[in-house]
Amino acid sequence: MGEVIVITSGKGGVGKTTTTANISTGLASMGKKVVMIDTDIGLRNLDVVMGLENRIVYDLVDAIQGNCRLKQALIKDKRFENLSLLPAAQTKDKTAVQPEQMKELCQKLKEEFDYVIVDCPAGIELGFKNATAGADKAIVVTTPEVSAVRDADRIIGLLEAAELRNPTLIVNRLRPSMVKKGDMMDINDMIDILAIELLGVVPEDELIVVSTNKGEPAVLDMHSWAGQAYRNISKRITGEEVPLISLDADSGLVSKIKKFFGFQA
Amino acid sequence: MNTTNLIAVKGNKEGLQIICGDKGSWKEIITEIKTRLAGENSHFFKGASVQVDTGTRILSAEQVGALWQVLQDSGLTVKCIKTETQDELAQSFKSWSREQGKELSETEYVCAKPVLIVKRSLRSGQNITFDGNVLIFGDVNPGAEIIASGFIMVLGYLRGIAHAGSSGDDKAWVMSFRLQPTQLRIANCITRPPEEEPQGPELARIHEGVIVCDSMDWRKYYDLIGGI
Repeated sequence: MGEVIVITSGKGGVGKTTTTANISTGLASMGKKVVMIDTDIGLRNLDVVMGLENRIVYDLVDAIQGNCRLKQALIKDKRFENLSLLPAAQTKDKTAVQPEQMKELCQKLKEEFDYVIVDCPAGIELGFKNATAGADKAIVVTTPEVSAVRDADRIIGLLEAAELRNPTLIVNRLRPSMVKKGDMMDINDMIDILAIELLGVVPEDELIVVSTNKGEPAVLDMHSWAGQAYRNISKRITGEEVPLISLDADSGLVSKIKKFFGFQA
Repeated sequence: MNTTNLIAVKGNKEGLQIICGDKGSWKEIITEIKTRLAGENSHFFKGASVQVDTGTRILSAEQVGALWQVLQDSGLTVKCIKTETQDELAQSFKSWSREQGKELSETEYVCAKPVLIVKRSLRSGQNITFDGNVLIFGDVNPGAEIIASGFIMVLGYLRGIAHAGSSGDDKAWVMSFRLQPTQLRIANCITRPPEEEPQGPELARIHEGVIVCDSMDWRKYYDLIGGI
């Protein structure tokens, strides 16, 4: 019996889809059987980030409404045999799926896969309720901005109300140099307010933009710092203990990024 | 289930006392109170003042409100609704006052208004509206809101909105380990806190028509707190 994990944030644009793609790919590269579900009906893009857009025939709504068998709607990843995607519908109405149906779907997928990773849409309406309906665990993604942290706090409250206790936190797009100067919220400020366990910190990385546009998850790029962070997060999900990467602005990340771009360290 | 053991009704010189046992659901308890008060002795209870001990239960605002309504409908004057935890609070208050060298009579520390005890943090979007005092064991995050007709005490960070004395009681106060609310309202006064971070527990109250915040000194505020 596998585990259903929902990736959510409340606010849009903090990196839910990127996180879903990278964590799922990371878990698959470790040999786990993984399926991703995109529940952002009408605004799907997990398939684009994974580079699988041109393989879609059936989608989530087809699978739920019985227009096809569940197996037919699952798209096999081009890199990993053990990684699949259930894409969202692009042309249908978002009320086409109800939480009860999602629960049933997650239950079915759980029996066959080690991990079912659900990409949640932004907002707190039906889409959010659908995405969390069948989940066993939740991961909240936030960026070091006051507005994103505020929304994350709201989401944690709603998750608790939906009996999804003890969600874990991923802080995305952190810039250690700005934190050091005091221009950006640091991790402790965020943990202070949100009071949940930290699963990982993903530094801001230009390579993410490149990999997203190419449809190649950064987790497979050994030169990417964000990719390294996502590899660590994937390991932590499987229960391995991995220390946080050092984000010290001088000795760690920045100088390495500078080196990478050919500046003097 | 034998419902007669769910509650105990006692009378003493101060009035009626209803003690709720730990067995049975809250709904059963309420029904039992209703039947007991509506029995053949109902005329006997009319106009009496009543004290209810809800035991170790943690009740929501609606549940306390419903209980209040039932008692009032039976013609009783509600003096106090207390819980185990509130008693502990009263106990610690009592031992403190003994240390200070003065013995307090019971009426001085038992609260006249019901106390809602919340044993978790309030997150953004969550709110509490309560006719009485509110005691929170946890933080109140930005975007959360507490409105109480009595005092508000937050044993943690208060970063959201707090409104004490919402029905116009200008003796109400707000206390927190770190008082950094988005906005603070007491009775009809509204204020925003200063930018700097507080270094310790603080208490806000109305002084000469404006809200003032002071670092917490129990001795200084004894009259204020003891009087509620």
